[in-house]
Amino acid sequence: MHSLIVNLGPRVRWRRILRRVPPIFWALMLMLLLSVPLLAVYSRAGGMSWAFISNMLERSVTLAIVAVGQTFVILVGSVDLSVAFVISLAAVLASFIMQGDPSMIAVAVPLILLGGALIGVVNGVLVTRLNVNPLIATLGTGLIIQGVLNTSFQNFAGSVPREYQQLAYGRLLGLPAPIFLLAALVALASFVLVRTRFGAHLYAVGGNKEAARLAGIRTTRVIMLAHAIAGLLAAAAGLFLVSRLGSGAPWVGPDGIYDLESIAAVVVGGALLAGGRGGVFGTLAGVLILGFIDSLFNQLGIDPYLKQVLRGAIIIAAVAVYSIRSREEVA
Amino acid sequence: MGMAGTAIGAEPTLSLRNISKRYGAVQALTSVSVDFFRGRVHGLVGENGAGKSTLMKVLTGAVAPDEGDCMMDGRQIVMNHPREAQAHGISIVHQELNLFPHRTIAENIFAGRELVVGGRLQIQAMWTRTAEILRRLEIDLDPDTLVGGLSVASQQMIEIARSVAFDVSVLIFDEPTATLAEDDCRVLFSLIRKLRASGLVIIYISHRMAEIFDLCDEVTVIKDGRKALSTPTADVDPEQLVSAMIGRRLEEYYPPRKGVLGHAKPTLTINGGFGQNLSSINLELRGGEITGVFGLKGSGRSELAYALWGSPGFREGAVKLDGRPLTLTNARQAMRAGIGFVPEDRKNEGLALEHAIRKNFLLAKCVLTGWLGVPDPAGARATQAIFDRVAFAPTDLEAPASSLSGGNQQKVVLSKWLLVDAQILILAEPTRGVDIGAKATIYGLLRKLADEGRAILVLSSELPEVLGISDRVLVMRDGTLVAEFPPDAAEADVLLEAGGKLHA
Repeated sequence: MHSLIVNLGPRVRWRRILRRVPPIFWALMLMLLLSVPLLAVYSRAGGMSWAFISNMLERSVTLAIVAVGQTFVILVGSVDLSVAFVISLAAVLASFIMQGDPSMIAVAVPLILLGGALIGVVNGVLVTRLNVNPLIATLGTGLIIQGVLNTSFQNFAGSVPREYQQLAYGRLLGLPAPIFLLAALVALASFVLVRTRFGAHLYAVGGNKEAARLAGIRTTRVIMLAHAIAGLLAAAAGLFLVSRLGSGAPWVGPDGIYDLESIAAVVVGGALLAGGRGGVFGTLAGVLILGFIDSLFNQLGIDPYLKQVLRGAIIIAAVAVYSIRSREEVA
Repeated sequence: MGMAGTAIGAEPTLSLRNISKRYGAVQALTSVSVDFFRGRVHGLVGENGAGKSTLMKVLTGAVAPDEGDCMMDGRQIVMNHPREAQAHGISIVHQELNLFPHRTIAENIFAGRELVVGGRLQIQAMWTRTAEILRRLEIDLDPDTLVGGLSVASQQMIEIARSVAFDVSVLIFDEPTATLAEDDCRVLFSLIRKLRASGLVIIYISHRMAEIFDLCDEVTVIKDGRKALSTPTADVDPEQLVSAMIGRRLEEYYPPRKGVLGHAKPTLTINGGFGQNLSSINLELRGGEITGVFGLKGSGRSELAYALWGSPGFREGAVKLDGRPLTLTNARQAMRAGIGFVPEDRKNEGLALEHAIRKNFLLAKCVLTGWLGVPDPAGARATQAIFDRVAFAPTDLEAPASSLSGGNQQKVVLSKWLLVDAQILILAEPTRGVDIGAKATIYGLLRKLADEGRAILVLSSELPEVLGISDRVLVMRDGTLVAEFPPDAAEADVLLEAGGKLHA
C-alpha cells in the first residue's frame, strides 16, 4: 500500500505541475512563435529578437503588478476598480514626498505601500461588512481618491531621485531590473496561492462562499485580506510607474486604463469573474498577451485603433473559449 | 466496544432529552427524547413540517433548543453553533452539496482544515491522506480529480468522505437519495453499512419506507413535533410506520366535492411525455376537476409542473388541448393556451417581490395583451371583483408584494391568472409557507374555480392536502406517474406507492 503511493508520487507531481500551467500560456507561446516569420518580413526595426521580448516584458511590468493584485480579489469573487486611482495616488505621493531626495525613498515607499493596503482594507470593509456590490464600492473609493488628488495636485508633483529610477531602468546580470522584480512577485504570489492556507481559503471562498463558511473558513477575513493585497499591489504598481516616469501626475493611473486592463488580463488568464478559478501564471500570460499585441503592432506599424479592436476581440474570444470548455466539463 | 453492536441495554452514544423548540407561535418540537447507538443506523421519518428538520438543526448546532439536553457518552454537551457540533464529532451530509467545484477532491476534503507545517501547505501529505480515505471507503477516484466534473452521486461520496475524514462519531444523512439514481443508491447504502460497521452513529432521514427498512436498525417517527414512535425496525412493518407518521387530517378545511361532472372542456392531455427527470407521462386534466399529484422530493413532481408550463417543456410526447395538438415549449405558449402557473418558489418565481401588488396582479395581462397597465376605472372595478373572489382585501395596491403575508401573496398570484381567465391552473405546492386560515381559503377557492369549469392540477408533497382537495390522486415516483387513487384512499397506501418497493 505504501509503496503504491511512493510510486505514484513523481507521476502525480508532474501532472500536478502540468495542470498548473494555464492553457493560455500555450496560446502565448504559439503567438510568439507565429510572430517570428511575421516580424522577420514586415518589421520596421529588425525581426524577433531578445530585445523585442525584453522590451515587451519591461513595458508589461506595471500592468502585471496590478493584475496580480486583481487576481486575488477576482479569485474570491470580488473585483477592484479603484486600482487605477490608487496607482495615481501612489505615483503622485512618491514624487511629492521624495522631491528628488534619495534619503526619502525609505520613508516614501513603506508609507505608500501601507496606504495602498489601507485603501484595500476600506474596500474590503465596504464589500463584506456593508454588503456593497464590489463594482460600486471600489469605483466609489476610486472616485474619492481621484477627487482628492485632483484638488490637491494639478500637475506633475515633484520628482523622484535618479537612484530611485534604477528600479525601472537599472540592469542586473545584463537584464533589465524590472524583469527580476516581476519574476519575484509572480513567484511570491504563486507561493501564497498554491502553498499557503490563505491561498486555499481564497479559492474556497471564491468557489462556494456558503460551503466555505460551513467548512469553518472565516470568509470575511479572507475577502478583506484579498482586497488589502490588491490595494497594496496597486500602490506598488504606482511606485514602479513613477520610477519609469520620473514624476507622478493625477492622471497616470486612469490614462493607463489599469483598472479595466488588469481585469481583462486576469480573465484572459483563465480566471472566472465569479471566483474560485484562476491563478497568477494565467494572469501573467494574460498580461503578456496584451503587451505582446501592443509591441507587435508597434513593430509592424499598424494603426493603433485597429490594435484596440483586436484586443477587444481577444478578450471576448478567450472568455468564450473558457465558458464553452467549462460547459463541456460539466456535461 | 465488543458490545456496541449488539447490546440493547448499552448506554446510548448520543441522546436527546426532552428537547423543545418554539418558533414564534409555532411549537416545532415538544419534549422529544431519542437515543442513538454506536454501530447502528437510526432512521428518522415524519411528514413535511413534522419537526424532523428542526430536530436535525438542534443536533447539528444550527438552532439551540428552548429546553432539553444533548448528552454524548453520558456527558451533557452544548451546541450553539455548527462548529461546536463538529467539535463534538457530529457531522451532517446535507441534501444540497457543499463542495468547491473548481478544486480537487483532496482540496475539497481538506477545505478549512488544511495540513500546514511552517506556513506551507502539505499538498503531498493531504493527497496521501485523501487517497487513504477514498480507499477505505472504496471510492475509486483520484484525489487530484476536479470535483466539478464528477457526477452528482460521486460528489455526494466526496461529501461523505469529507465528513468522515476527521474525527466523527455521529453522521447524519438528510434525504441523501433524493437526487440519486437507483444504482447510485445501492453504492451509497453499502457505504453507509461500511460506516456503521466502523462504529459510527448514523442518523438517516428519509421519506422512503423502502430505504428505512432496507437500511435502518432503529426508527423514530416524528409527528406534530412529538416523538410518535421509536422502535427497532424489525419490530414494525411499513404499514404501522406509515400510520404512525400520518398527521391529523384537516377535514374541516377541505371543501366538499360536487361529484363527477363527466368530461367537460377544457381538457389537457399529455401522452408519452418525456423530459428532464420525466418519463412516460400520461396525464389528462379535465374541466371541473381537481387532479392531485403526490410525489416525494426528487420524484419528478417539480419537473412535471414546469413541463406543463413549457419551461422546459416535454422533450417528447404529444400535448393536446381539447383534442388539438398544442406546442408547449415556453411559458408564453402556455399562457396563450390559457394555462396559469402557480410555482413552488413563490418569492422568486411567482412574484416580482419588490414590485407593487397592482403590477404583479396585472403582469400576466400585460404580457398577453401588450397593455401597459395604466389604471382605468373599469379596470379598477374588475380588479375589485377578482380580489373579492379570492377574499383578498389589500390596504394599498401600490405597496410591494413583499409586504404581504404568504397567504396573501399566493392570492395575488392566483388573481393574476383569474384576470386573464386562465382555464387550466397548474399549482405547485400552493400552500407552502401559508398559514392555516389562508390554506383553507385557498382550498375553497380552488374548489370554486374547478366548479366553474376550470381544470386544476395541484402538485404537492403534503399528502393530506393532496387527498383532501383532489378528485383523483396520482402518485409520482422516479419521474413517472405510477398509480392513481380515489380521494378516499388510505394515506398509507399512497405513501407506500410513493416511496417505492423494497429493493433488498
